[in-house]
Amino acid sequence: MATEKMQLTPMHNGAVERPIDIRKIWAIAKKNWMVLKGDKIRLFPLFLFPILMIVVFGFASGNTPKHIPAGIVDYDNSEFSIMVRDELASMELFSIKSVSGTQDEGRKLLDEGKIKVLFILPEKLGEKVASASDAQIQVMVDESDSSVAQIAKSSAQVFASRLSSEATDMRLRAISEKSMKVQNDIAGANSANAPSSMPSPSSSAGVLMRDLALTYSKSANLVQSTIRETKNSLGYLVDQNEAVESFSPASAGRATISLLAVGDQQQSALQQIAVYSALGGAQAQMFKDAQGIYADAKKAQAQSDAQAKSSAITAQFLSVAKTDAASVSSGISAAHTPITLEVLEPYGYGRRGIDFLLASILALTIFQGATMGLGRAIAGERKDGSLTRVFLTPTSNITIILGTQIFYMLLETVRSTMLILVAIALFSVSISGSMLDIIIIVAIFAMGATGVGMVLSVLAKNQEQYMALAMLVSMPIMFLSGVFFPIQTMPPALQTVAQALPVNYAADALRGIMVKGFTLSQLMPDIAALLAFNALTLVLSLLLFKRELV
Amino acid sequence: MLFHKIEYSIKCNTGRLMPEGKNGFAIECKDLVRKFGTFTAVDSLTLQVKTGELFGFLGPNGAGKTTTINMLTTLLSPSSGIARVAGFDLATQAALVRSRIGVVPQQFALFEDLTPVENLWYIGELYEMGRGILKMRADELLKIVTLYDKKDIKAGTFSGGMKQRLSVAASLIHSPQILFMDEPTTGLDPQSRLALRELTQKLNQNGITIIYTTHDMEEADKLCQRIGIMDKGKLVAVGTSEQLKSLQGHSHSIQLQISRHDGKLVDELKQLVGAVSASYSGGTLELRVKSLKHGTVHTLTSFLHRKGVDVGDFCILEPTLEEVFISLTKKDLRE
Repeated sequence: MATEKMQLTPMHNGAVERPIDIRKIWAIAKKNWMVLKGDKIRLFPLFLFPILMIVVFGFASGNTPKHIPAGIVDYDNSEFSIMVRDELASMELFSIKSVSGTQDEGRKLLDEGKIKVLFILPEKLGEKVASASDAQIQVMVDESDSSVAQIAKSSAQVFASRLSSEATDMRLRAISEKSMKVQNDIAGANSANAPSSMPSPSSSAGVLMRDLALTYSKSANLVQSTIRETKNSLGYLVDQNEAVESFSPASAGRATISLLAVGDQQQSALQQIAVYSALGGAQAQMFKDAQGIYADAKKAQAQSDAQAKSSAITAQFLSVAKTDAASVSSGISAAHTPITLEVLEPYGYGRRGIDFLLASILALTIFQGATMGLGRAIAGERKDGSLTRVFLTPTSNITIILGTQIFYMLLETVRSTMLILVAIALFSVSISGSMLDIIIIVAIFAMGATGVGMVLSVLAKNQEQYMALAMLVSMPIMFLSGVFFPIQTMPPALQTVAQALPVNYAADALRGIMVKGFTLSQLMPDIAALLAFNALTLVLSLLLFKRELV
Repeated sequence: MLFHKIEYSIKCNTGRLMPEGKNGFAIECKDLVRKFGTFTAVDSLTLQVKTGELFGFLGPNGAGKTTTINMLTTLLSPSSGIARVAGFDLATQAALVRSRIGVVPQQFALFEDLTPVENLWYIGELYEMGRGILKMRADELLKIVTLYDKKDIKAGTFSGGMKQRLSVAASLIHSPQILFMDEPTTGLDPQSRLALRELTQKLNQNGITIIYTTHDMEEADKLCQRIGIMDKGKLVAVGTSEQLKSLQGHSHSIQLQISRHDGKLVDELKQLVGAVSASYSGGTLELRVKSLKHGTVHTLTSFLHRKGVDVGDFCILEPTLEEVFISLTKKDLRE
């Protein structure tokens, strides 16, 4: 290339060599199509692949498993444990296959693969819950089926949290009753105006305080861990869909958590999070109030001890204490008032997993198709000698590369369009933005993806070498694309790598158009990154291209 | 006859277009070297081929013929040295060289998934030929190489001979001034070989300069106007067939089967016919003469008769290129 000066001297047949010759680029692209067209065995799978890809993903993803076979070992056999068993049986997720008396029996079923999940209800579970002491339910999950295990674990977690919240609720009611009693006692003391007859408000407030502190610390921990766990287990879908903005720390009382465009399966879990964060807030408020009462009661007692007579000050303190006690009651009632959850869907109603995954599937299909498909392009033609014939003509390297690459780019664009159409037809995927914009992004990305294939194709001397190189590139990128494994569960360093990949820029831009209805002007950063990558691959393949027969 | 008569078909445009070399040379190269690592495939090749010549490179496998062709056709860059092909510098005007040369490479270099006509159209498009001219010329060439009736069958299904013919057609699509043919007859059956040689000669008669490599010495002898003998990357001799043969120092060798011989008799015979050398082995005496005079055979036989020596078979041989080659390279051809 470098030694070939641009010559404008007419050739004997009137031709001149230009560095970029549109007519020749078109001729090369057309030739590649004619070769492909004649090869039915190659043509057929090439177009079947994107259809297969979307069909497999469409049916395989987005649906939560139902009726996971489960077993229960009940050592308790109390009223409470039977209630737990009934609740488990009523869950759609689990199908209770057996209730056994010992862990060994349950374990055997798990080993045999008859059940995937085993719940173990220990002895004295009911008693412990009633007496507000630490109680534990165990769950054993068959980890060999990781996706089911994941779902079973997080569901068991949610279930346990629900039980806890019910227990907490019971305890809170008891506290509420005690609080009422404190109010009455204080009121009584106030009206009697006789400290001697006052039934020691401080002692009853002390009991209240102790109970509250205990309940609070337990439920606060529970709430925090539940939020954390649920968020983790949902992390994939949540982040994948960029759905949840952030949890606003719920204050006591009613709270609204905005959930943005969440698939239906995630909504219930997110609702749970909302309830717990609000519950946590309410309890914090209660605790603060209870502290106030306790301090007031202390002061009141100090007053009454010092003066040993009723006085206006005592009455004043007592009235403050009464207000605080009322606040505790209302806090408690707020805590078991369900928190309303409003689901906002800025990107349209009823979005499912496939809607969000489609962009990634599309980008990955393009990338895989391009990196796996260009073996024939330069490497194959070099090996079979036909590239020699092209080398003999006055055709510049960049024209050879562009002509070949444009053919494959068009091929990938057509395949991707088919994939989208099949997704729309089979899974009623709705596209918010313009189809033309999608095709433009697809074409831009396909140029970069085929650019990667081209770099490998100019490096390799034959198709076998090409395949070896292509595997090296395509395998890691397949797994970093977020289609098979969520990017958010990767280590931070890998996440950075994944986010820098053009395949994820493309997926991002495509998701923007498909889900959020963005136009190209809103996607300029993504487009700029993709174009820069295209230029990089072109420069690389030009530098590595050898116009020699060695 | 595999190829059609082509008296008028090959319209070469050397006459009306740019002169090739200003000095009438189609190819000039000086000290051309190509190394592959430490191995020198072509070593200081200096050569001139005149416009319109049919020049042959003769040499064993691995002599550097193909490497030379690849360099002259811009498929390999020389390690050092300069060359002008069709009047253009190989290093700086490669595109101009490419547009003026046609190449029949050793491997067919065809698009086997395309039909002959698609092959020719595609290649023609890369030479920026107009659609109309391209179609006409493709049909014309396919008729010449007798592939017209198979023009819509994929080239991949063709036999070696058919592929070679298509390759020739492909190399001529853009009316080149110089045609390089790298061992075009290797692997062909005798009929195809003969037909291809005839076509080569016709093309040359139509004004195309042809560079032809072969390791078949008989072929080179019959076909080429001048021959360059290559061995171990070096050009060891260049000239017409006659010039090369005269390097042997004699024009004919007379071989006689004689019933007895001794040193005296051999000396007498040498003197009698003016032989430059004589040798005897296995009952056959060989006398090499610079020129064969009229009556030499008669003089010899009557002399031997008088001496009482019986003469069995006898023949007169001209030196072959093989002898020249062996004496130049001190080895037989490796194939």
